[in-house]
Amino acid sequence: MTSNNIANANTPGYNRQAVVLSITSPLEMGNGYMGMGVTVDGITSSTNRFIQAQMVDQEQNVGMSNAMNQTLSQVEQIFNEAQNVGLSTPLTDYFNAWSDVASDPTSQTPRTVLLQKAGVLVSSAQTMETNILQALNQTTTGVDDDVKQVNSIATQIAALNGEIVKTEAGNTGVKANDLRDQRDQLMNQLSNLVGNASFEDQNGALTVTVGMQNLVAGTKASTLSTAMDQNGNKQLVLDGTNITSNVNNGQIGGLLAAGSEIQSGPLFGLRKLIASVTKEVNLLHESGSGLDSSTGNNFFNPLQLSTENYSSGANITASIANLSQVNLDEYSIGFDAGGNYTVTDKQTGTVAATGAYTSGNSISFDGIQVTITGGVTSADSFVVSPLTNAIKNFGVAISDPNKVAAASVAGDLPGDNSNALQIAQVSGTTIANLGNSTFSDYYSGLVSGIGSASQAASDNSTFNQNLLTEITSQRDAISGVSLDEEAANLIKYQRAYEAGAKMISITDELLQTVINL
Amino acid sequence: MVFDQLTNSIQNNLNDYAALNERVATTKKINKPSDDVFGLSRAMDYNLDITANTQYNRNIDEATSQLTYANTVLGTISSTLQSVQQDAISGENGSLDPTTQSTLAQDTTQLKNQLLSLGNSQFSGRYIFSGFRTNQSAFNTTTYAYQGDTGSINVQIDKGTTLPVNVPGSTAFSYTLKAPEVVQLGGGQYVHYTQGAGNTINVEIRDTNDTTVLDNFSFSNVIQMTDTLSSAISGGNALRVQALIKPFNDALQQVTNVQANVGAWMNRLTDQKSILNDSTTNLQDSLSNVMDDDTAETAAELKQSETVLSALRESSSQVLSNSLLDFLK
Repeated sequence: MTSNNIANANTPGYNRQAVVLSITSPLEMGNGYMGMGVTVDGITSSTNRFIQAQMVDQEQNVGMSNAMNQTLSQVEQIFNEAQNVGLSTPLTDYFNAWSDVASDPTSQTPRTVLLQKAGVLVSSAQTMETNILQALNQTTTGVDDDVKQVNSIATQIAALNGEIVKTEAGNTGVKANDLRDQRDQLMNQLSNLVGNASFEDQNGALTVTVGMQNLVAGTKASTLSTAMDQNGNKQLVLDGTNITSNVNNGQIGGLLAAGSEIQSGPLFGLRKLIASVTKEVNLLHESGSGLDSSTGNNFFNPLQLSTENYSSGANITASIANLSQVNLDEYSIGFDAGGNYTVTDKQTGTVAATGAYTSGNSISFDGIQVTITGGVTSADSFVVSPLTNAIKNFGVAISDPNKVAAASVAGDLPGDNSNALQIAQVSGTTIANLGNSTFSDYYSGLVSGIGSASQAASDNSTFNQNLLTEITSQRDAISGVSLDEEAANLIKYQRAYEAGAKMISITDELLQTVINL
Repeated sequence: MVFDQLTNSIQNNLNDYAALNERVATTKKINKPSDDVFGLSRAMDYNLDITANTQYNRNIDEATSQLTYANTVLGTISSTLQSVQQDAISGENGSLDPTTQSTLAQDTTQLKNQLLSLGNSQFSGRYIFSGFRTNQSAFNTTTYAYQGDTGSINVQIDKGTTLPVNVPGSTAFSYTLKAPEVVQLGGGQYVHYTQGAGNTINVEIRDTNDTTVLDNFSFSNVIQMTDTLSSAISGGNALRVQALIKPFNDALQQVTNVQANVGAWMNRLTDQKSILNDSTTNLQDSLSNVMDDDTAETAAELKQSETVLSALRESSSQVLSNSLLDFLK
């Protein structure tokens, strides 16, 4: 047993074992009892179930906060304004370039510079979106990888359940210590991956539930799988039940939370900001006139609506009817059993339009016009968003510096800079669609948001890691193998063994004497 | 267990060490948003204001050079008009000898041409008195009519504050009458000045009874006025010359007013520039307080952290090598 302890001194999760010795029933002699020596009663394992339970819980928290921390700190780097990474400089440069056009409206140079700065703004925004989407993609592939591991661990736990029940069946004194240690260790790993709950039945089999569904029951392991939902969010499915909303812990829980944090925070915000810049600049630019007297030109590619169709047979087309009325929110369109449609603003939750549905009739709300054709049911829904493609389609629509509309009035007025001045001043004015903040303030808010989220995740991760370290050292204090203790034991047993041998050799000598008589 | 604790301690200290090291390397306290969310958001605000100030400064420089040029030109116009006025006063007397008369007429023609070229002054290829029509000369070189517009080119010199950098020729070279005016000349004739369309001023010279119209003419800017004067002098039309004395006074007053305006704008620019510079200095101080690291202090902390780390390594090797097994030989 000592050699087993020493051999496993570095095995993670190994619990120190000890032999329980007891006196063998003495033999009754005529004049008393004669001791019959020692017998092995069993082997106990120095485990504390309470600490093990704490560890399993803590592993879930550690897995969750680590996953959050890693993902969010990665996104934080995309917005690292402390190192001048991000959109702040390109955005101010762009509006400053308008100011330069206003100072010298006749000259080609500031106009060319403006187009270049606009190009930098476009590519910066697109790079940032790509990086955010990459981080988002990593969370979903991370969930896939973790799910594979969860399934492998679940199978192993189910197998161990079988072994443990078989070993311990009928023998009250016998504990399958090594198998239990292995199972505890697997539970720690599983908990790091996914939030779970577990209990042991009287036969020693462990039942593990994930999101209120059985992952392991006895020797049966169910398979966890993933799917994508309508909004492009990763979903977890166990035994045909969607358990996503019940999984908040472990690495998987952390990745899911980080994913939705990224979608609703930086990604949404950045798209809204760019959509707003596009809208405000285009509205003014359209009304102005270039050096070549052209008017009505967009400066940036016009905003385009994206639609998502969650219906069985209907089709939807959407277009912007009046750009100035578009408030840059996303809308969902649903239907009731009575054949009425309801358009709901997804951000404010308010109803934007409602009425009786007729196939092919256009529905107008907030400067947007949609047309749905075909039969619909109350299960059908559509999503209309001016944001989804805002950065993807973001681009400079004009290439000729003469088309930069610095003048407000059409005509041969090269000195007219009033429109350029107005556009330059947009950067300092509050925008209603951005909650009455300026472009820069809104962006600064985004950076603060992701910074706070990352800071919280990092603090959380450190705290949970420390707590786990604390629990691990408590466990080790009880269950860990101390090589010094084992060495002392080793000497003790060696001496006992030597004494036993001495006993035999003396008996042998006595017997020799008797034989030689 | 001891081993785990030691590795954890070393790891934690290494993390601190690396963080301090980054601060020394970048000389910045904040190296990513989560280092200090509030601090960075303030730093971004400061940066934004500094960039805006730089831009306003650039606009002010551009505006200053344009206004300085306009001011110089206006000064020359003013002195030219004074010379014209002198000529008018000299030509007022109808009985000039022919030589003086023709010299005077030539001189006024000369001054007219000078006014025309001043009116069509260009600054870096732009006609400064044409309003928005900067690609077109302000005054027609044969009719002397104003062909610019009234556009006022503004630049931004502060958040929400703009300042014009041009004076349209229609303002600098013309004046308008609020009400019709009548002046009686030395000979008893009456001169009626009435405002016509645009900047046109119609002049009617009537006899001493203020009934019969003896002569009438009109002009819409000082170049046309000087042109009329020049031909009046050479033609010996003393009445016209006399009738033009008052318009020249008014025009000179107008130029002086415009020049005073331009001077005020230039003062405004100078003041604004110094305000912006002060503000930028303050902002840079604030930015530095938020972002910049006290390198000496951090270096000291770094040294301390290094000492702790090496002590920890020293003690680790001691603790880890101690085992009962070493003594059981």
